[in-house]
Amino acid sequence: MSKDQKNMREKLERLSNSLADEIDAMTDEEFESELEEASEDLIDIANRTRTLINNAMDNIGRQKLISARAGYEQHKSEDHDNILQWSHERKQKLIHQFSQDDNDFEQKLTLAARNEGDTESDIDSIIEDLIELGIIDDKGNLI
Amino acid sequence: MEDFSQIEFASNTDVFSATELRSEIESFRDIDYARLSKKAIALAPGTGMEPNDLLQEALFRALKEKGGRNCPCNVNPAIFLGNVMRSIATHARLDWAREVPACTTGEDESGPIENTPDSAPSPEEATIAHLDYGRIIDRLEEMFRDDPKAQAIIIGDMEGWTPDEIREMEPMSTKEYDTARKRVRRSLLREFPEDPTNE
Repeated sequence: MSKDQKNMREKLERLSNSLADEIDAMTDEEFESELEEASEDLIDIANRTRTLINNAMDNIGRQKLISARAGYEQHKSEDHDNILQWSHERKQKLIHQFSQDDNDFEQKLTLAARNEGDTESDIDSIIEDLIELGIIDDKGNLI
Repeated sequence: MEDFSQIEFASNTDVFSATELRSEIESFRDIDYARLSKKAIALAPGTGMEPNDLLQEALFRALKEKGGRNCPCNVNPAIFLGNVMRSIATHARLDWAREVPACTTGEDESGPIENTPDSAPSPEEATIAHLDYGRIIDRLEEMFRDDPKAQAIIIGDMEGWTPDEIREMEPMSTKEYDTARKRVRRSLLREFPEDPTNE
């Protein structure tokens, strides 16, 4: 920045800041009286500014909501990749696929179901065992 | 090693959340809104932004919870928004008037950096910024051409003079000074000379 340019920028900034300081320094009565003297309507200025601010805040709120929703959707899709986040039915289906060629395993599952033990936690426990044994990964893929 | 955890803790608990700040803003009085509007008019010149845009940008930054500017609970939110506008305006003026890249002067001072892409404005942009500041100042002086007392206040404020120094340059009583200052304020807050960067 040239010296001249910097000088002009600083001049303008000092004037602007000085005006802003004066607005802060005025009492409510002084400020109101100056607007009146200038034939400006306080309520009209306030209403226009309130509308501007409310619209801006609504837009900011909408943007936040959109961004939160996108984050949630991403989280949800990531979660659904994990086998433990699958629906109960989907997990059962997977487990029964494994048991088709394994009579012992099938019998255990049937027994568990008969004893009303085929609960979400039982299924999860079986899945965790399968992952630990290195049979499937946490996405439900055969290893 | 210094422990900053307490500072972090204190700064997080002593500021309004976005929801709280929004609620504070919604309960502003008419006069608070009017003051903010006038402050935006005072602070926008030379930024390349319209006053309303400056106010909206300040709101956006104040309500942004991560990486924004948080309003301390012991500060009046209306004053805080005014200060955010002031800070944005200062940075915007600096951005607009960034230095002309060294490579454009024809002097080889930057070495290998000379060939790297530069986001700085072109010489033409820098020249426009230069002229525009000059034009705003010219317009300001023109506005008060027939009012030497008001003109002295404009010049004094731009130079950062005290009221006594201004009165020394243009002899006037305290009462005349106050009245002239009011004339300046009233005119500029009604309509600051249009910023040519916005035309």
